[in-house]
Amino acid sequence: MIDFLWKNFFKKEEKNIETVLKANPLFENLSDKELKLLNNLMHQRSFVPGEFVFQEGKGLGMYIILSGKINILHGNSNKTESSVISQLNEGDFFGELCLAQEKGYHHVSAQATEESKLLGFFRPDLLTLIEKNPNTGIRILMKLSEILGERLQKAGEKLSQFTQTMEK
Amino acid sequence: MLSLTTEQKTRLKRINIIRLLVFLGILSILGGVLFLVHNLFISFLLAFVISYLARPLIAPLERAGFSYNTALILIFLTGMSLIGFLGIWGFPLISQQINHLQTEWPRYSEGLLNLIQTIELKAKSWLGLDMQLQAKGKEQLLSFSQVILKDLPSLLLQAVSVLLLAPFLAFFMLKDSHKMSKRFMYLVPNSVFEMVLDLQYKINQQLGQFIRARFLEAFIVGLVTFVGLSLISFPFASLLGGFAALTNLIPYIGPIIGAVPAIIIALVNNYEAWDLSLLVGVYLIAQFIDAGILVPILVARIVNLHPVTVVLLIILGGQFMGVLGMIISIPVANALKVTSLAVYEHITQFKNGTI
Repeated sequence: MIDFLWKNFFKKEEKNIETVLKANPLFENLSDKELKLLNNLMHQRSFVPGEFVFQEGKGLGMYIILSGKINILHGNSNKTESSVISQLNEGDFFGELCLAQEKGYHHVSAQATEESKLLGFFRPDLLTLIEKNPNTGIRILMKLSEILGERLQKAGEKLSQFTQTMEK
Repeated sequence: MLSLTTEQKTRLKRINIIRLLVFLGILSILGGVLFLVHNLFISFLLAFVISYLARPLIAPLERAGFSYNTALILIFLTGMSLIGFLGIWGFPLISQQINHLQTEWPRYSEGLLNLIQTIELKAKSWLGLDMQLQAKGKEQLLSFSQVILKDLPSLLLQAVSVLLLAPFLAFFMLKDSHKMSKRFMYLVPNSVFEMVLDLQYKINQQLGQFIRARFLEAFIVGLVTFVGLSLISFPFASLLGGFAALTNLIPYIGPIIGAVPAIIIALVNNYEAWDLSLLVGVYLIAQFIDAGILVPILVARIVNLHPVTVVLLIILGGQFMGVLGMIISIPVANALKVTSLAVYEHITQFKNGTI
């Protein structure tokens, strides 16, 4: 009986993880088999309310929210003026910039506001994936560069708007 | 910003402490078992080496479309059959040489005593030193003779059981290493998780490179020595080649120790100067190949230890585990140095990053 419950509980969770992964733009064009491989490489972490996922500083990779809520903050816990930039919910992800960097750096801090389950995917995991299965790795990298490129373009547009208003 | 209530803080603390205790507990139980069972430690060490040697072969097979487990089984089956064939070919050769050594041993020990006697006489007449080398040497030789004549077969049998256990352990290490490291990572507290993961990855990479380079280097040196000795039709070529490969794992003095038995054999057999220089030539060529070709290519990553440290470690290893301790102390110390360097580098970098 307990075994049965245990199995069902886990099956449900596994399914949930794969649907969350599939909904993520980074992994949207991967097959079920590739998603399974990816899931094997990822790390499930749980956080209590108020706990920091990471603070401003050296970083290694991204997190996807399986359940719970995460606040993205300016600065870190030592600074009192830290303020919430955005609030992320189930299915959202953050920290992906560090995946592309040899010496990754989190410019913000992330803090759980309720009981949260996150799925961590880090640079060593990505490198392992590329070694084992280069095709999948390249597809993830292409998506990653697309997302980063889009963001850079938006940032550039904002910057030119800003300089225009400054000139006026 | 959300600040933690005291209740949340204590809960967080409790979770982290439980995780840390479980982590340390598992680690210390494993360590204790390994150090208490003498031969298990050696098997484990060998299995560790085998797993690092086999690891880079798995990824290409995975890229070719095999699953991890299939790739692993394929590699181990190939490896086993290779070793099997080598054993079928090499076992008669080695057992013949061991038999040869056992029958020849009395002559060698006598010759060695004579050699010591001449040295002693010369020392006496030239320097006026009375070293009483012969008496000391005789005692040592007698106990060593016992080892060669009586205990060698049982020692070899013991070695075989250690050698057979190692691939078995290595197989399961490789099969479950990912799962195990994931479980270990699960126990790491959130606050240091990214740092520990990065560290684990870097240490793994550097240790792998180090172990592969060192063992490939030793293997090639042993092979060159074996071929060279066979070419000059020197006796015990395969035993001496194997010995040279093993001692080559010890930096600085290893190559010299490796050449000593061959030179003693040559001296006892009253080799001519030409044959002796040929013999020395073989060992020198092996060392030139090592220093001139292998080290620059393979060992760029190897962190070398200071000569004084090496000597101290060899003495320490000899105290704890005898001859085997002398051989494994350096690779173990070297691996520890690689690990601690990675840890140090990481921690200083991490500090710089957060400030």
